[in-house]
Amino acid sequence: MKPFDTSGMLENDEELESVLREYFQQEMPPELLELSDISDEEYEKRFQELPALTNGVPDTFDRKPSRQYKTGLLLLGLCACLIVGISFIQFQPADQIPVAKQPITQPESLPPTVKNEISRHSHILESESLAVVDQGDTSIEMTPQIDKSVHESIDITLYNTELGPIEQRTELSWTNISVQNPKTGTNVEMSMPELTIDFVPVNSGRLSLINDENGE
Amino acid sequence: MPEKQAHEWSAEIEAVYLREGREIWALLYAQCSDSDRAYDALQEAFVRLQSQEVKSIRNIRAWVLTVAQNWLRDFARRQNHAARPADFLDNIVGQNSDPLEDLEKNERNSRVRQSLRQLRAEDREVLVLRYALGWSSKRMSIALNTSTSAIDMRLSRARKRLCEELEKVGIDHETV
Repeated sequence: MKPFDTSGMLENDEELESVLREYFQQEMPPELLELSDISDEEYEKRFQELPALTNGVPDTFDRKPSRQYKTGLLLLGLCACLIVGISFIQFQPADQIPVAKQPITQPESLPPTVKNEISRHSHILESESLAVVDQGDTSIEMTPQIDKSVHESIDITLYNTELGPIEQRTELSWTNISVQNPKTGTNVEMSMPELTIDFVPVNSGRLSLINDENGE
Repeated sequence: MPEKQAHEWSAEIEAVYLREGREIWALLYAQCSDSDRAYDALQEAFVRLQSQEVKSIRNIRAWVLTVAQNWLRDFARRQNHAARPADFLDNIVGQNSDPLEDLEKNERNSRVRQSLRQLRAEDREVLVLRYALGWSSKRMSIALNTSTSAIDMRLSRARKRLCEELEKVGIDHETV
């Protein structure tokens, strides 16, 4: 319902302006309407005298470059994401596959003097001892421990030949050797067989014994 | 504060009010679209200015505007929780005026006010400075720190948007 005739108000800009001027004349308090206004030149002169930082326009009316602000914020966010991504890639935990950081080269042949120095510090092993030499940078000293338990088995077989009876004595002995690595604590055990076959002529008067050859 | 200094301070405040009052009211009106509220904010800011130290304020105009704007914001917050007066109280006419004429004028002003409230504060700002204070484009460009052509462009766009809003509330050249 439009009880009042408002037609013809917006025929052109002049009508709109007259409507607005009349509206604001009624809106403005009468006390303020009575105040006198200054000229543009005087206003400009007075405006320039104001402090530079606060030229009299409050923050709300001083247009901030919102587009630049948003662009800066967007760039800042992108930089932050980039930094986070790079740091994530850099400090990512290494895979289970070991990666050699240094190029693999052939071990240099040590001069004789160096070898002598190494042998000087190494233990002198007995002839029966077993030594395991590590080819890497660190030499691992192996401590051989010989198990004294020797298992022997003797087999005697008699043969009747033209020259008379001959006894074949087959002696088999097993020597157990265990080598221990002191750093890792691992043991390497091995058994060394020793086979001895003797052919001894047997006197017809008596049977040969094992220790006959020793004159017992 | 010595008496002489206080007297000078009061005289300076009065001069600022006489010189800047209309402009500050217009800027405040552009924010709240309420004449009485903008005027209350203006009065409140100058009352507070009276109790301030003389040397603590370098730019009185900017100080008054800031204080008045804060008062408007506080008022808006209070309005959300306080009882509001009935609208008809604002439309009571005086005894010496024609009731029908006043009613018609109030109806039109109410629609214009409603349309202005739909605009952005930037559009209201240039419309108030131009049509309430009668400022030229040059003076507006000084106050708003922009060029004259930009002011003319903003004015043109604001007028166009206002026309669109006025048409929505039934005010156009074809309305009966």
